[in-house]
Amino acid sequence: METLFALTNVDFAYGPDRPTLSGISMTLDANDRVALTGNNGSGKTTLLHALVGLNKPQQGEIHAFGRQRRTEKDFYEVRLRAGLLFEDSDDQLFCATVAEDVAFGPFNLGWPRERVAAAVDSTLARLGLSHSRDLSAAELSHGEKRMAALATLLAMNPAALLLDEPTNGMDQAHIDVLIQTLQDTEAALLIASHDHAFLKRIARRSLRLENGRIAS
Amino acid sequence: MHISDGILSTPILIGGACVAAAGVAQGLRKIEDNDIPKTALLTAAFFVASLVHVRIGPTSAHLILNGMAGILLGWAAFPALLIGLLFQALLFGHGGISVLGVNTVAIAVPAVGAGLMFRRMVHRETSPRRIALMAGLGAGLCIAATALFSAAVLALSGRAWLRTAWVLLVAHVFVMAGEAVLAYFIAAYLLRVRPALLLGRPLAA
Amino acid sequence: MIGQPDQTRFRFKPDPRALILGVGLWTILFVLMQTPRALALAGGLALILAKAVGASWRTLIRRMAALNALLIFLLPLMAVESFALSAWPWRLAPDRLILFAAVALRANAILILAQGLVGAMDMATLGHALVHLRCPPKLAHLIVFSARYLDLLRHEWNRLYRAARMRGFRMSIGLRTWRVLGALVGGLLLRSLDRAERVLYAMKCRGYQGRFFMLHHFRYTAADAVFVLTLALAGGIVIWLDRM
Ligand SMILES: Nc1ncnc2c1ncn2[C@@H]1O[C@H](COP(=O)(O)OP(=O)(O)O)[C@@H](O)[C@H]1O
Ligand SMILES: [Mg+2]
Repeated sequence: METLFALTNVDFAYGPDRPTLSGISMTLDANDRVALTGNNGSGKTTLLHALVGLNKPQQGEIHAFGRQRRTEKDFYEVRLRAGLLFEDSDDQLFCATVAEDVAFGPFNLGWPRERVAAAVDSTLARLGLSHSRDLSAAELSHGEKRMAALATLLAMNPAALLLDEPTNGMDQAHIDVLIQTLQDTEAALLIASHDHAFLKRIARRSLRLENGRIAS
Repeated sequence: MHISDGILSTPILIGGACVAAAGVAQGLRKIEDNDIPKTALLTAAFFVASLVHVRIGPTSAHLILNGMAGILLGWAAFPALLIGLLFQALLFGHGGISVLGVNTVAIAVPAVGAGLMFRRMVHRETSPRRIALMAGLGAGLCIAATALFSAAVLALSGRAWLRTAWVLLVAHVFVMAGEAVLAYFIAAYLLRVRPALLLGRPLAA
Repeated sequence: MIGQPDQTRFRFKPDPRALILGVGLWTILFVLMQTPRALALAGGLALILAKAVGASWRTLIRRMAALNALLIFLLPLMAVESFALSAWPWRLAPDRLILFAAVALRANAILILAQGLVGAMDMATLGHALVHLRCPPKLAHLIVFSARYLDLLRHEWNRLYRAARMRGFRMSIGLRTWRVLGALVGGLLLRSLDRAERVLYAMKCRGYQGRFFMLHHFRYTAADAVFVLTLALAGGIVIWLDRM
């Protein structure tokens, strides 16, 4: 099986004091479905950000999609192939309308306009968001925002999805659509969440972070 | 502090629009691609803060904060303040669209000037108290320049507006004091929480 | 919410670019007019336009009330001949009064035009239309971008302000008020910068390399051409009336 991400002994600290991640080694394979659990502040978000190069580790190595990745330039390609769902959807929906948010990634992939438009339509339809296509994110409910943020990732056909607390603020109807979508996708999944019922229906194995270390 | 539509003479409106366009163009050139989100969010933040009404002396006024905008944004203050004025005009009917250029010049030119001056002086300064004082002083001077410019364009638009120009000047003595004190405390707060914002480079130098 | 159109069901929906062009054209004409009678007619036309494209009476009246309160304050300042005690009772100079009428009518007319513009479109549409009208894309995107986060930051401000009030903060004229206000505004600025950093991360995660894209494209119709022509014609007539 192809390994998408492989971390060895990764250390990361935001400041000079206490490290936030220490000695992290883990892998994410194609078709893997991994739950990432741990208390608030245990470093889940920090780890997900490190995988796509938003935090650069001070120690250790990150291999992603077949190469070691160190610099901002290295990670450019990683980011196009691994979609990160942010904890706060408002960070991710920065365009004027939902449709433009979904189109942003595909345009940057260099797809022609017709292909982008088709991807936008089909992704929104798949997630039941067609009616909010021309709305501003400010007009969406929490759950809809979450789904719209997911749509911005799915439209790029990522090989891996890194989801940070995907069910936060979602009602059950949206969670059901989310579960269905994730079960159907072929992307590898790494899901940071506290929602054990949700994780149980998606994940095949789990990693637990405790104080920046992998506990299991 | 905005002059309304309908008052200023046409040459002044045209001149203001041209200077504003040049300043905005320069500001846009200086904003790097990765700084677009910061510029946009600061634009929105300064606009939201400018909706706050405070009591200054005998009256109530809304905040302008152009000095602080200049210090944080540098040249990017030009487009940021233009957009703030555009929102004011469209969403609240304050100021106006025909005077957008003149009003932008009135608040953005002093802002950029204060910003550049502040960054130059802050290099040689270590005491937070004195840096905050410099920010306050800069903001106060900024309002003074804004008021002088606005009064001047009013006076130049016809003898009929001479008295109004004087009233505007006097009223801004209070605004100047308020904005200076506020900028002092904003700077003091930022120096405590995130000093690099004031000690490093502005967004668009 | 800040910056949402007043109503979504328009009686007439011109292409946003046509509307911006029309409003821009009329604003320039109104600036050039001098006589109260032409300006009064212009104000009437502006009102018809604003109503036709979706401005609500409520907002129009509210905005005009604020403007005219200011104008009433300016009236004695500019039009009284002399404030000397010997000149009591103070009298308004007739020529100044005519000038004031022109100013007041012009200010109201341009205000109504602007309200028509926002009554018909939100800030995002405005930004998009501006890109198509050859406004620098960076500026247009800054407009759309900051409009997107206005409400969010207003809520952040309200949260900060409420928290301060809970701890006994009151607006007054003392130094303490300014200290707290400084911390509040500083807090708002920091939050906006933190948000901007996360937004940039999100943009990079989707391959941002300095370019923005637009999915929507507006389409001019024959009706829009007629619309702009009508506005130009009406503008011409009013200018002619002004110069007569
Ligand atoms: N941008 C940041 N700067 C400094 N410290 C941070 C930052 N983000 C997170 N932290 C700290 O890192 C630790 C881990 O945070 P995080 O990764 O968000 O945990 P989790 O997602 O598991 O709740 C926390 O102690 C948090 O305070
Ligand atoms: Mg987290």
